[in-house]
Amino acid sequence: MAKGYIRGREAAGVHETHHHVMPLRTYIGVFGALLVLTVLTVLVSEADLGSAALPVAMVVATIKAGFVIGFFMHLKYDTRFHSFVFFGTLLFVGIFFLITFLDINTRGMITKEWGNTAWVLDHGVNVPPEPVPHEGEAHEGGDAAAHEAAEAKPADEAKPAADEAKPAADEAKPAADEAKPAADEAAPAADEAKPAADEAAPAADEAAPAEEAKPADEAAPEGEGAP
Amino acid sequence: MSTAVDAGQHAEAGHSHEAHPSYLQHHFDNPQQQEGAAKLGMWLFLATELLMFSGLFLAYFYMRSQYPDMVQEYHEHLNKWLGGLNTVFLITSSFTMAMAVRAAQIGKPRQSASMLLITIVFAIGFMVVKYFEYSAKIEHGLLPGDLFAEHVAGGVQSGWYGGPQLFFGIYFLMTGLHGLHVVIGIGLLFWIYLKTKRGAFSGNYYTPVENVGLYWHLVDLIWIFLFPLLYLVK
Repeated sequence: MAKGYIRGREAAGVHETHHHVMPLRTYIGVFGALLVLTVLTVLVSEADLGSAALPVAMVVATIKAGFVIGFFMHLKYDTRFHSFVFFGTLLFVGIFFLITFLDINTRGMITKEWGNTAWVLDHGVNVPPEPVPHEGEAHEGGDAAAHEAAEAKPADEAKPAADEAKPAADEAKPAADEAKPAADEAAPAADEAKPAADEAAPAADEAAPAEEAKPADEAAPEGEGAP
Repeated sequence: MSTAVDAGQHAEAGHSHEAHPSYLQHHFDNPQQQEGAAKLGMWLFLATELLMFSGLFLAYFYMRSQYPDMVQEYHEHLNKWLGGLNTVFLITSSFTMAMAVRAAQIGKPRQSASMLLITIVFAIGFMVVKYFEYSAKIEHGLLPGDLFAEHVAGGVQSGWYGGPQLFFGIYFLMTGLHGLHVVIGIGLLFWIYLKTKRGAFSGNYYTPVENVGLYWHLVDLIWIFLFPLLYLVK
């Protein structure tokens, strides 16, 4: 009969099971510790710990998890290979978290320092100038009032269009950051155009079908330019 | 010839009698090998469970890092006392589960069965509390995505990014998946309870009890992290 190995050592006999029966008071002790730690987390959350609250809560939860895994799940007395499976999994969870947060935490840096480079790579060297909103312009009264009712509708349509451009801009990653403010400005620009002359209407209409970041981008200066 | 038959019969008898008790599947050499394989399989399954939940935990931490104020504000809508009560329920059920496994280990199926029954009662208690929590959330319109406040405030503003519906999306996804595990756990516990009642387990063979126990402890383990993160975050 094959020899049995338990935790790296040869077992006295394979029919002698390696079942480790823990004494009752160990279980009761662990149970008590878990209850005490639960009360502790709730009490700690009442105290205002500021930024230390999350780490403290996580440490307490990890201690509780350690009790459950080590004693209730018998990992402390189990085959080492089960520990390997478990902690190996945790290692990969750690890698998953680490790389994701490395990405998230360095994204701002990339857009600030290399944002323009990315734009040039995608769109050529002609970086469009920052659109400057013209305030107080395009209020000429007179026939503008007559057009107001007619203009109100397309101008309203331009707004959701600009909103639609936002998620689309997310897809066009490098351009996204450039496009967002522009798309946002498209809406007020269209509003300004409201009392303005007929020319504003085609501009607002152009903003409406905007499905990508780029057309929305282009619509912005046009909507503004309409006097 | 007769000796050969004798030898054959002897081998047969020895095979079925000693090495192959009724609970031992024919493709295993001995009960220890069978138990080792079953438990390793269970641990691998638990590993995949951890990986699945880790994605949700990552989503939670990402939301927290992006919208700390929103999470701060809206976690107040969760009842930390109900969450705490549920934590106590799950820890207690985890304890009684461990006691059920221990009773099975030392060959006391009657005690094991009653411990399993107590475990089931606490698990159902958890789901009852969950029901009250969920119905309160639904009543107040604290729901994920477009469902948020739909019947309370007449729907959300479109393009409202990083709003509370995100928090409740994560809340319902995490506690919902966990709750699904609790429901499945209740089914498994009941199955094990019936088998124990029928006398399927002994001090030599109780692997299913142990593996369901491992599953149940994992459910408890995940809640141990969910509770402070969702209910107590500051």
